[in-house]
Amino acid sequence: MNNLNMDLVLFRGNGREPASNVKTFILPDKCFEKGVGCAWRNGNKFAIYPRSQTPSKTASTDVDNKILNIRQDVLLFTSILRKLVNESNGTYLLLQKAAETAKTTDNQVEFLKLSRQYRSIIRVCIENLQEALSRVQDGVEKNNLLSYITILYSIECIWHLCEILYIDNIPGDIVLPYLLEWVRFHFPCHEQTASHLLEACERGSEDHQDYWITVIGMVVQGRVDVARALMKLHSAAETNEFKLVDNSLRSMPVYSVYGGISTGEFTITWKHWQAECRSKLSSGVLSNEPKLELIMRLITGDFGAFSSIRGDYTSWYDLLGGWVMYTAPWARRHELASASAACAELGDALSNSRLDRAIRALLDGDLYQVIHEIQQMSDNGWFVTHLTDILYHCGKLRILDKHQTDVTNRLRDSLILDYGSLLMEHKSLWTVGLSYLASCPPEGLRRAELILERMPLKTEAKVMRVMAEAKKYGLVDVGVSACVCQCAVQGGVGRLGAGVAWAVRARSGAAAGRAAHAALRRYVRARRLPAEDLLLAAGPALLLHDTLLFLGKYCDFHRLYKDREFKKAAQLLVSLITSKIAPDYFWETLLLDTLPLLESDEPVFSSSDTYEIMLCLELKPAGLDSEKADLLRLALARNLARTVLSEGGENKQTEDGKTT
Amino acid sequence: MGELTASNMFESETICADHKDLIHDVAYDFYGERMATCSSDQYVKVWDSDGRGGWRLSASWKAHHGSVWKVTWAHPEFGQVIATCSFDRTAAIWEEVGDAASSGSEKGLHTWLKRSNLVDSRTSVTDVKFGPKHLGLLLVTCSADGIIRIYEAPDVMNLAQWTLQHEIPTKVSISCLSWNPSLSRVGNPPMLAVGSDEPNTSNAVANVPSDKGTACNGKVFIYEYSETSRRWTRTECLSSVQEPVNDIAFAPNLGRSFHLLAVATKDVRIIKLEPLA
Repeated sequence: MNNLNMDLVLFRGNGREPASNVKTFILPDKCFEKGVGCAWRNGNKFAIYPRSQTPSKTASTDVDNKILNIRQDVLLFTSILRKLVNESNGTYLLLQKAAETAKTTDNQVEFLKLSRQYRSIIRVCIENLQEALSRVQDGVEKNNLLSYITILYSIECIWHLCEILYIDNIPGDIVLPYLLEWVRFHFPCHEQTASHLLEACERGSEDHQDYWITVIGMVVQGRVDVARALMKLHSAAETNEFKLVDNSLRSMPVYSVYGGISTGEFTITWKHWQAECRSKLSSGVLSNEPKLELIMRLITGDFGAFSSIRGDYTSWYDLLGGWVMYTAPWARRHELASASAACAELGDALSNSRLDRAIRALLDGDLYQVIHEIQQMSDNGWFVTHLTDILYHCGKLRILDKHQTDVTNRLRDSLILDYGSLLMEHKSLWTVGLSYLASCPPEGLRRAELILERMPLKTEAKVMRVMAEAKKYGLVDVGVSACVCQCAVQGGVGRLGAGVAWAVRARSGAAAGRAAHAALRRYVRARRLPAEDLLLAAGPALLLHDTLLFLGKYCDFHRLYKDREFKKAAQLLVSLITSKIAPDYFWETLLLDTLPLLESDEPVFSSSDTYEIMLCLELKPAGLDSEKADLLRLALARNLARTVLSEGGENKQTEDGKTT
Repeated sequence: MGELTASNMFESETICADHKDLIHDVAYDFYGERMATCSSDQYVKVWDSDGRGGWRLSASWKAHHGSVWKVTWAHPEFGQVIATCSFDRTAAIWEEVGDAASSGSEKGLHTWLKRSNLVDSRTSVTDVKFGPKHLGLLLVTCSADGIIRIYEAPDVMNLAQWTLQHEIPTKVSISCLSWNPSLSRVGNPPMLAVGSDEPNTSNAVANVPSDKGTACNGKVFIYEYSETSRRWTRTECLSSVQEPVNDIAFAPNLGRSFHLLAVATKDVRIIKLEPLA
């Protein structure tokens, strides 16, 4: 790949925001002048090197050849986040099971439970991070932890809202109480001051510098009771102005699905109440109490009032609950778009962070945009994968491509496949990754197969682990291949017994043959047989390959010989010779093995055995050099002489029978 | 929100290859744990990952009498085996030897033995690749005079013996090739893609008639093996690629019904090949 451009750019995502998604490396230009080559390693790792297709005419002496190894630094592999990965995997697998049963029954409650489980996993992780943060001294480390915490906070915040809007089963679809809960939970400002003030319970609390900001904070968070209690602590609480506001707050109608009135009725009551508040406001009684006036303006849903306090809050969604509460408390889940648009425009501080955009999109009901936003987060796809998956199973996700075809399941699958493949790069999280891939058949299993077989097999334990996992998901070929590779590795370093053992484990005929040949060749060279006990116990596994069978039997011959069972040993040897399965290079060894048996005190070869051996000796002239052959011929002839005599009449009779 | 965006999360690390001339190829082994480099200095080097992100030189030897263009690893089932090809018109098969004990020897350098030298080409051998494992131990080479050669080791124990199975003339200079890794048992015949670096001068346009009799002036050709005729035939010429090709690679097959081929010319193109049903 020739690329004269000196900057290497990596594209990720769908390129909507190229500027922020491109990592640029400046290559040391001198050595990359001629062009650049690239080689993939595995996972998200590759090498960049200077390369030229044409040979340089003059041997340059000043070559500065550098290879750049580039890899993705994966946040999820940080040890402190490992628990997040492992535990969410458990929830993910439960969710897949729940989704399976949901095909026949409605399982929304189960989904909600699992969604909460995910959130509590995130919570625990945040707590762990905070704890770790309190212990570290190192500045860089501190910054890292802080950024993990911010990321996880954002995730939890979005997830919670998503749960309210899409997963939870909200009675009557009236979202306000949930929305307020969400705001209070994620943006708990002023809460502490409020509780301090209430605890102290002193008249004249307005002397506290945060008094008014806290009261107003309580109002916009919908905690009307707290706001009223705080106002009672004001030294002027008994004045008419305070009583008027308190009265307005107290009389605010609150909608409840189980309250027995219809939304229509409620709307009328509520609008009536708000009109009353407005008339009080316009009467000018509060003109001397600007703070009280502000409260009244807020509860009448006055945009200007909300705008004026926007500066006191870090984000527009701090005010979202209050805005909905005082403008449209009957809003249903899918009616929040206008509220979010209004809140986003409050004040002049236009914030446009990723969290902003994700929340806007969520409230607008644009899940495509939500997924797009959270996909860009730096959690390596943990969030987008799990959230998309749960939304998909809840049946809330419907994504269309530009041709209006439903690509929802393809999107979900591709996210899971990417996440699973990423985890498979890690030396201990790979089994987790595998479970994600396996939940996405058929492509997931194919990917699992490709990645699993490339898993470095440095220890025997690792091989066994890979084999067990491969078996679990029915990836038989991977297990076999791992064993065969192991067989090659062991054979390569001269551990032939282990090589045979791996070949047997792989049940691979070819590998068994290869290993057996290697063992026999070494025997010819060094008179050493590998793993005899293993071969003697191998039993039917020997049938994998002729050569392995031969090796096994040959070991058996050695055992018999050692045990001084010469008769049996001789029988076995003759059968090995006559079956003619011995490889060519082994003939010499095999024939010479008969020598000590031929020379034994008691004859162990019958005359017919001797004839057979003689026949083989003459048929395999290349097997032996002439000196050894002559020696063997002599021994065979002597053995023949004594056996023919001792075998006597019976043999003679059969001989006669043959001739007649 | 912590705008620790994804782009910040790539790290790079530099290895000084210490070749005395230009590097032409870098190849990782099957597991990505070893790396082989080759260069115009006629040397091949093998590097081992130390498992902590670093690389240690484990072997370095003069492999050819000319620039070494490409280096490639065999599947580990066949042992630690690499193939190289060179300007000296040969391709070579190398096997790492030595047992566990000698790996701790002084300097920790391993020995690679030349098991075979393939001398059939009369011009520079520009690329060499082992075939997919399921086809046995196969090796394909291509040369500047446009001949693709496919070798087979009938006995995988014996790396010294390679038989030349097929010789496919293409009539254009071939610079690179790639095997399609898809399993043939799922209905994909063995397939090769080759790229030509023939320059686009007006009278030397690669104007080669394909087997179907139609002329094509593309730079990438697809060859497929037919089990019935026992021949490799050109089944496709990608006319969309008109520039000299520097490198070419098939994507791993993830159970897709189509194949993906990356072609590097002045830019990089990903081409989708859909087999005819």
